[in-house]
Amino acid sequence: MTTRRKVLLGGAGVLALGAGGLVGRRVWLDREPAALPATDAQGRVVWQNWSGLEHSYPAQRAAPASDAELAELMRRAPVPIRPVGAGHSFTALVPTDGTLLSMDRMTGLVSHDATAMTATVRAGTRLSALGPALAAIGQEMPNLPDINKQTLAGAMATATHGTGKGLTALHGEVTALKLVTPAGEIVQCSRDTKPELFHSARVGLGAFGVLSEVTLANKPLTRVRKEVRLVDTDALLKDWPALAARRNRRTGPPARAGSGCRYADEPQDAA
Amino acid sequence: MRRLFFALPLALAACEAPPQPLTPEQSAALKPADARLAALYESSCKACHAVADSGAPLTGDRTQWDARWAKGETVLLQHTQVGFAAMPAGGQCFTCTPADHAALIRFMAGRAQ
Repeated sequence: MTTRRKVLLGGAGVLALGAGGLVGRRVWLDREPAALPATDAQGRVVWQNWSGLEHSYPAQRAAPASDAELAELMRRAPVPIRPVGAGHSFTALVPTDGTLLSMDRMTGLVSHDATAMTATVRAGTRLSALGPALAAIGQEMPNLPDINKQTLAGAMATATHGTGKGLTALHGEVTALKLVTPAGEIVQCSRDTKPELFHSARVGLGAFGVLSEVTLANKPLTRVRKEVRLVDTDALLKDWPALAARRNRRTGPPARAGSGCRYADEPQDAA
Repeated sequence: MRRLFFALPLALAACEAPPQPLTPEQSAALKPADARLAALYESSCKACHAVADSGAPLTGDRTQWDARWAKGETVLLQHTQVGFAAMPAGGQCFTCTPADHAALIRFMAGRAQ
């Protein structure tokens, strides 16, 4: 009897140790990576993208305030020059030992055409600021991503898109661009002027120079009703064909097992 | 006289009103007095630190900042430079110098610049 009890207790102990080991392994594998040093041996401060997957220690950081300053910087600054927006992209476009170039001082509305429903904005404008600026002139972008921290230049250069049937990514609603090339030239391009450059530079990954201004094809400002509902997974899947056919419906990860979030952005009357 | 010398600061500290929470609107209305610093703040920190749902401590709300401030400015600066919890490295200000970041932390924490 004593022996049987010992065997059972021993087996339970082995199981507990095994389970503890598995949990410990999971915790170890999921641990946060060690933080990078804030500065390197030369005293250069670290840059990291939002996800933390990319980093570098740029020798110089620059934030030009005009096309002329930007052009001069392109000619003189330590290379490689890498423009950075909000650092939201996962791609390794920004890390540099040379110059990290921010467009945070080249922001805001330049001009607009109420008839053609277009607006020209400086490329460093953050999407969070762009919406209110366009609303003030009675316009809105046809599509937006679900995060609004990006700069317009960064969002376009990395092909940022939103969600919705028949809607294009941000670069699809652009009619003209102003670029400052690596040689420091200021170049205007559109569907009609230098079309090859225009179409290439719309998602340019920074390879064609730095975007200075963007002309957006917008639509009249509308009022949108946003609805977020927690629904049963089975009901969500049953409605899926109808949801997929709607232009502004999307779903999110389940807030709890057996459910999903359903979002609906329905255009209402004019603002 | 000596008693008065020691008692006076304690009495003044006791008179200081406890910090009150700010509404997001009150927080969003704050900006650094220095124009250059204000521009850096508007284009980076404010995107999260003036939004209640972001999880970031609201600018100027000492009920949210005092415990963080107690960690020391050096720790807060390092957290800002390399990222901390949900805050990305540099706090979205890629042209900020260490002195800029330190000044922005002091401003957001409700301390004099």
